[in-house]
Amino acid sequence: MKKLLLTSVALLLAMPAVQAQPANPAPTIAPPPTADEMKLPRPARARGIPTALAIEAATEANRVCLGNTYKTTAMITDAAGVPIVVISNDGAAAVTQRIAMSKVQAVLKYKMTSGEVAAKAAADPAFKAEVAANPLIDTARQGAVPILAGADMVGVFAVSGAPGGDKDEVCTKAGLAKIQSRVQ
Amino acid sequence: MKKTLLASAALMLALPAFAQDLSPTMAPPPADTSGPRPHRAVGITTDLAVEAAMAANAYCAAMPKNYRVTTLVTDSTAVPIALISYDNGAQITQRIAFGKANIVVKYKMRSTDAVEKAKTDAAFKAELAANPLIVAARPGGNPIMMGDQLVGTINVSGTPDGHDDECAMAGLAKIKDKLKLIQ
Repeated sequence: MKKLLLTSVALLLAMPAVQAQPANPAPTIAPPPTADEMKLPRPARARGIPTALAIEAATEANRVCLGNTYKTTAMITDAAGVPIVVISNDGAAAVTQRIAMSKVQAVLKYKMTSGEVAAKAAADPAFKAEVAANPLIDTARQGAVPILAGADMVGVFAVSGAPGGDKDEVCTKAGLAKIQSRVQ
Repeated sequence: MKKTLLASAALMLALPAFAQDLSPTMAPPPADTSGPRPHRAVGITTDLAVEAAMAANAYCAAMPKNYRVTTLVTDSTAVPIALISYDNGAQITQRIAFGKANIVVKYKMRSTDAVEKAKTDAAFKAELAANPLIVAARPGGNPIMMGDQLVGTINVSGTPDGHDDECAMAGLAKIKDKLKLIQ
């Protein structure tokens, strides 16, 4: 915990230099590990689908969205939210990777689609406040679904970039449909 | 700037409550997404990025120790185009790869060269250490060049004994004669 806080403080102090880079207003991926973190054991990913399937599904989701004129980022994570693939289509907005991850976090935390989280937040102010107070989610947005092997959640699949989460989810579901029969 | 600071401050305050859920690979979402959403900066096409990343991962996997690595291909400002982690890759490799991309973009050099420079240049080493987006120079990050223009980076992380750079170069070799840009 202390290490995370220190990293955040260091990040705050270093922000002006980072900001100087054009077109990358905020880092997309979390900062690299500190020297101490590098010495720790390096666990493999949690349970997840094979990389080849993840590439296939993410590519299909981006393709379907592009067919609807939307330039998107598709992200597939393992069961713990660690990315297996992030594929950002030509012309996608730079912020979509981070928004996709927030949808993944909504699925992981509440074990429902991020669209269901958004619907619940719309109807339940206390729940909405809880989501808003979670910096990893911030706002519930449709577009991410759990990847299920039977009853087990083995990963999360998110799309961001269409003008509306409902339009993102169409692509997520199309990508997942392409591989679902091979998910074990 | 102020918004970023506020978001960072909010993150710090909120961290204790969510420490259990913290998934540190990607940066947190923006607090306000109502503003304009700029496209990625100049970079290679997504198809090429995926092809290069898969080639780098496959090269590492085919080595005698069957390394399972993560390859990150970014645009010219270190925004990811393709991040692909091989089956059962270590979950820290995505972030390590990003640190290498930040070296390439900031210093316009291969991260391998940054490693060498840091060995003899204490001020440079200290500068890297003070940058939380870099922390330390590590080999395996390479610029993608078109002529004199840096149009992206390709970065590999995951070999424990110094083969990241070979795999990154193998990925780059797969695409370097057919680079196409997306602005």
